[in-house]
Amino acid sequence: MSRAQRLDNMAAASRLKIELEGISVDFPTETGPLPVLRDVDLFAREGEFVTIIGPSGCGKSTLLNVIAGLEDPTTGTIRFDGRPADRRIGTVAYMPQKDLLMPWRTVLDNTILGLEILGVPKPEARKRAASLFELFGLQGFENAYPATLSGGMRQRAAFLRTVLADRPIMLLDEPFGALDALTRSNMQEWLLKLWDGLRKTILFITHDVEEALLLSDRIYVLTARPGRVKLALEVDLPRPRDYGMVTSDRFGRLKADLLGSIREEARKAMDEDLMPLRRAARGGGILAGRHADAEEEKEKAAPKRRGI
Amino acid sequence: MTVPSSTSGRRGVRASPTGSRTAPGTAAEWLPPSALVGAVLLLWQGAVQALGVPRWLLPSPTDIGAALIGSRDLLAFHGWVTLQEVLVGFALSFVVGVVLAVAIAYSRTLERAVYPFVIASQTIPVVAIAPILLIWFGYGLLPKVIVVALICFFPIVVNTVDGLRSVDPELVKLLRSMGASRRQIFMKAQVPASLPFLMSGTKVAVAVSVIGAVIGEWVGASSGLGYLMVRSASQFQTARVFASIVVLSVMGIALFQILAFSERFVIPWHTNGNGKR
Repeated sequence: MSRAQRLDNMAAASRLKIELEGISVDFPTETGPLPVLRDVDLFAREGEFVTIIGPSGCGKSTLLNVIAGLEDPTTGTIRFDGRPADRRIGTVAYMPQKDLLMPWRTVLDNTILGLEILGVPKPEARKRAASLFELFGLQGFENAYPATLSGGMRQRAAFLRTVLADRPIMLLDEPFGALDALTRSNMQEWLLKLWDGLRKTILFITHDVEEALLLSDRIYVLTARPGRVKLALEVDLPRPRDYGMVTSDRFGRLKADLLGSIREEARKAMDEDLMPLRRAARGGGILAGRHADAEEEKEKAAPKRRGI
Repeated sequence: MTVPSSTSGRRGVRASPTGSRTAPGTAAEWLPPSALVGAVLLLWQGAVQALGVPRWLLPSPTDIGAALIGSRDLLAFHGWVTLQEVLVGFALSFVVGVVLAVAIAYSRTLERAVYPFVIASQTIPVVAIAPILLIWFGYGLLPKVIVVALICFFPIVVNTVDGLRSVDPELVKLLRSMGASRRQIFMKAQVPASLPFLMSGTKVAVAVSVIGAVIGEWVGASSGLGYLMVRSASQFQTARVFASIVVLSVMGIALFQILAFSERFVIPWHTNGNGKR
């Protein structure tokens, strides 16, 4: 690699691919607007792997919808490549939690969906997809229906569909959430290798702390609803990474930091969820008499337990 | 672990896409129903002969067999008329049914406007409408075709509407994020998703279509199996009435089987072995 090229690469690496500035989203409800996201700032440089992690109901999915252009923020700006991106639909490749493979299409035809919508002729799209089947461990299943695939294969097919859509930014919403632990760790390592070759900007959503640390350059922890950025953690683990790192000291320290931050939020989220129940209990609504007293006792005891 | 080894290990144990159901045509498939039909026929034959039931009251299976052979020209002529009514009426109901279903699934306004009429049309007995159709359209093919279509279109509409709506909203979201237009979402997601439902609807429709044709013919006709049944009954040719019923039911079963068979080509993902999730 020449010096000029190296400088070029460095410039590309520091370029901001995607920036979110002061993103807030309110959902209109009968009792007034419900704040879902509050002043979310985050960014990803060209080719970075950035993970968003947070308690359930923190507005992660809303955040993805906003980035994908399926929803507009109530306030705030989104910039792609430094320019405000008001019409974002079709500019990011989105991979939802469910694989959403169409049961009526063969695996090959499922993977070309994004190209088809871009207007690429089917034979050409099929050729492009078929050349990647081996890399995705799907060779031999081009003409099979998705129902005959294992969970890991279905997820890889969905991922190939996302990669083939050929957009510079990929949004992955808990892609391995439904897989068993073993398949999951294999898929994580596989994704690391693949991403190394693709060098695309990835925004990744997960609940899994180890997964987040293993894959990411930076991790954003969101607070319970309304979602704010609680912590932006730079993961300075060396690359290339592999599953063996999970047991290293450095990994352990990062994991402790991250877990501490997340568990605090998870507890808050849970308390929030239980509040209406407690109020109803005090009012004698759902739980009357004895039960309501017991519930209040628990609530008094709760802060003490939290202190430990 | 490297990527290829982790996947090739799995490949070996995966089932092939073509399933492993009991193949049609094996003895296990046709033996039980044949044995039951045979037993019932034998019992019937024995009872009629032993008790000396008069032929005009209840003909024996052999009497019906004789009528089938003896009146084959008559049965073929009237059967062909009925089959035409069924096929034309069914085709009409299919076209109208699918168009209505698409309209209903596409627009909430159209749904509110049209759906009550679709349902109301099924609450009025066809037997009550048939004489009116006779007054309006005469003794020809048309009133029967309309009766058949009236009976058939309901299961087609209801099933197709459900099918068009069965698409996972997440899939619609995915398609939208790719930049798909509403038309693309309709063609690439809703239409294929609705096909298994449409096939179920048409199978129900074709099974009842024969009933529609016969009702139309009973009310007023100069040909068709329904007409032949009425005429034969009035002449106490009971064996021929039964023979007509046999032809009708064979017609219905055959049409149903043709549709069931066509599913392999129309919705292969749904019928091929372990295609169901």
